[in-house]
Amino acid sequence: MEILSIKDLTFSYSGSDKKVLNGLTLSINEGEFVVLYGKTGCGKSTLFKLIKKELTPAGVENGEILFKGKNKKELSLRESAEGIGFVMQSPENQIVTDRVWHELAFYMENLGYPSEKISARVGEVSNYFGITPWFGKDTVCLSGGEKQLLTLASVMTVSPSLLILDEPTARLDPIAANGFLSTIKRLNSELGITVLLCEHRLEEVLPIADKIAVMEEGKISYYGSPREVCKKIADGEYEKVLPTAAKLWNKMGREGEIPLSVKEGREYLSKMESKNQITVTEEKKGEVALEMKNVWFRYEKKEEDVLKGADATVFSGEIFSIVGGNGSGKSTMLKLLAGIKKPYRGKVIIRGKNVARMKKEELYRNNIAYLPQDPLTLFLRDKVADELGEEGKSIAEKMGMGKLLNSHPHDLSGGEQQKCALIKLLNLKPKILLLDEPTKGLDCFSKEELGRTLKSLNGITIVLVTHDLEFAASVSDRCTLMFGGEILPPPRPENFFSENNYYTTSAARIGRGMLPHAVTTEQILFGYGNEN
Amino acid sequence: MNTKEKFAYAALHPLTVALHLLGQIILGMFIMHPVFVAISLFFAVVVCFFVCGKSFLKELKFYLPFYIIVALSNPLFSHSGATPLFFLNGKPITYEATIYGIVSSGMFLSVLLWCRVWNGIMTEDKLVFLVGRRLPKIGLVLTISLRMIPRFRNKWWEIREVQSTLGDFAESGFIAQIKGAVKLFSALITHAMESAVETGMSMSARGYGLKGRSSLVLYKIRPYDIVFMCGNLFTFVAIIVGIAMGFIDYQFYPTVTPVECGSGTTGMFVLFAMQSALLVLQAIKEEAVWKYSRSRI
Repeated sequence: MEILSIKDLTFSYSGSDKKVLNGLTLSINEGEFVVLYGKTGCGKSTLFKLIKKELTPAGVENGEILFKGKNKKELSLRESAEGIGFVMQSPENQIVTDRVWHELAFYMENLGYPSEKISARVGEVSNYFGITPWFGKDTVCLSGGEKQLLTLASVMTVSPSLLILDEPTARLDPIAANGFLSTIKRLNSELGITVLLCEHRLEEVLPIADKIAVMEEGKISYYGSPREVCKKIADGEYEKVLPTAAKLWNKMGREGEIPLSVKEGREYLSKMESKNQITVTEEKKGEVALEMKNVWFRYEKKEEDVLKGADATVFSGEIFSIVGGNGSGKSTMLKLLAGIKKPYRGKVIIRGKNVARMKKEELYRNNIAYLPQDPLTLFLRDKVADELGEEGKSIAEKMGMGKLLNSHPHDLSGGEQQKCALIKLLNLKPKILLLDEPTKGLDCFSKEELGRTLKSLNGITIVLVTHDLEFAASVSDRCTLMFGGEILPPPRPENFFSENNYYTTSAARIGRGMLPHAVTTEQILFGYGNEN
Repeated sequence: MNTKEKFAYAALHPLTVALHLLGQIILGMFIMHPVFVAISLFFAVVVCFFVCGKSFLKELKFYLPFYIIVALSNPLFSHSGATPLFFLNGKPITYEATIYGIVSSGMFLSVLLWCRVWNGIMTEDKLVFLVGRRLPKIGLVLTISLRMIPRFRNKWWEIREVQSTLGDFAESGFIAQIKGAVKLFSALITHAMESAVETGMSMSARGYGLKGRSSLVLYKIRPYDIVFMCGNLFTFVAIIVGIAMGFIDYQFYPTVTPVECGSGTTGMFVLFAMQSALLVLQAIKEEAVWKYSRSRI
């Protein structure tokens, strides 16, 4: 049975002639898991807000939206609130109350459920989602992944029949993101809840989805099973979006059925014969740019140490990336390198000088630049142009961002914010660039551009901390894992990712045992003689 | 968080505890009688130990000097009273002023300690719950603000740290620093507004603003709470009546009234001791119930 049906939907925001949605048609059956894919700014979020009556923005709307056969106009706010669950991107902003239990009760309280029913349902839901261990906590103490799970659980307390999720994993690390996605899959298969999910990471989502819709310029341009759609989009610009296995299939002659998961990718590759070996390039050891010697750090006197004797050496001009799970101390380590926090034991040495003895002036003028996780904290002014200065403005114009110079930094998309932040920092002419999660919330097009930019910065030493293994594998000269407050000695990424079994890229998982040292899609293609 | 507190007072309804502590604080504030103050102080210390555990010993390091300073300051500055003990700089240090200092400082300290007990037992969510029962909107505003305060405090530090690497805070001097703080504050406000838009959407997506909002009742008033409250109410009213009847009148100046032990006054002492001991009895009772149930396993 059709649960959601959208016919010929057109929408433009009030005060603007531009049609954000232009004749969009989409039909979703009950119990389906549908993934919506579209580039940033294609109108996905607008579509979601139009489906959810309470969130409908001001503007001109034409066409029809039917939820369970009922026209949106006739749907009462209560029916919409109870029938359609909605989860957004930011784990931080969606949580309303200060305690976990209250957040779980919030939805039901709004709908006026009796107290006994609320407490029964809260108990049930917190068991199902595994929230019970932190049930009594303050919501401030939760990690990003826990917060997002709490939001989902809170939405599920009223058991909506349609669940809409707008990039729910964009701000989570890959492990938390995978956990979140598998919870959604569980809801779909165990409870039969219809899911409409918008997601950039097709790698993880395609193998579990029933259908995928690709949205372009306010319309659905492709709609069907993941395999069908992947085959269709493999020719155009969306090729980059495909899961690694499908990319290999696409470039290697397209024989047989298109593989989507790592397992299918391995099967596909095993039928091929490799032609070239991947050679591991020699480590170049230059001048030492940055050094940590036996660094210990903790935030509060009584807390546990975050860094426990961390050692690392970064050579001048290289891109050094550090991966590791949440809470492994990566971001803290970067703050120590940036001189924001000071170790209580050990030394951080930057180009031969101990950071603890350097003045701010010496440390930050043409020396170190730090890109925080939230690039918005770099901006204090109301206009992008004021932040960038004359030189920065001309760079931004060259990068095709001239239109954005008069906007407010908060109005930019994640990718644009990241770019502006980078321009601002490069303006300071740093010798060392420290980046904290530079790919958080970026789609694969912005990611690729960022990778290219970083590689082109000759002479600048870059230390980056990331959850994004694919990104680390493709840009870095050396790559290492942070675990238990220590930094493991860093080898080349080819060694690092091919020796790791769990913490590694999809390409390395696909190529394991068949093509040693291949960790990126390009390397596998090279190995099988398909360079282009 | 102290485990002992949780076990001993988790069984009581927050309203029961709140009313009891309010009673203690009110009586403690208005009755200046050495025996009353001693009773109040003694039980406040005992309950503090129940609530805070051993860490209260550390807090005593602050409370004791406080007590001594307040107690000493009265005879040093007030010279009324009929019985001079000795002369300091030609000013008499009187027996009455000394006693008054000791008692009033004890009264101060006992009220302070009962407030400490309040802080230990009445956690934020219990308070929000109490307010929210009667005034749901204010309850919601409270819980939202309780969530926002730590969030924005963290954001403030985050922005500050990042800005310090850009050299914006390198300027020294009072005016420059104030200017920097103003800029930072406006950035924080922008940030708060932006995130509030999304929070608002998340609220209305979950049906906030529909008619007939209910609220989850976390605590139920059990028969035991009623017994507790009735006992408390009885002693409280009896003591108020006793005050009105002049059983516990006491004078420090010009001469200290000797402590009487008439039946009315003694009755008052006993009633007040019973009331002050309620939380201690509760903790002992819980312990006994636990031990007894264990012994049967």
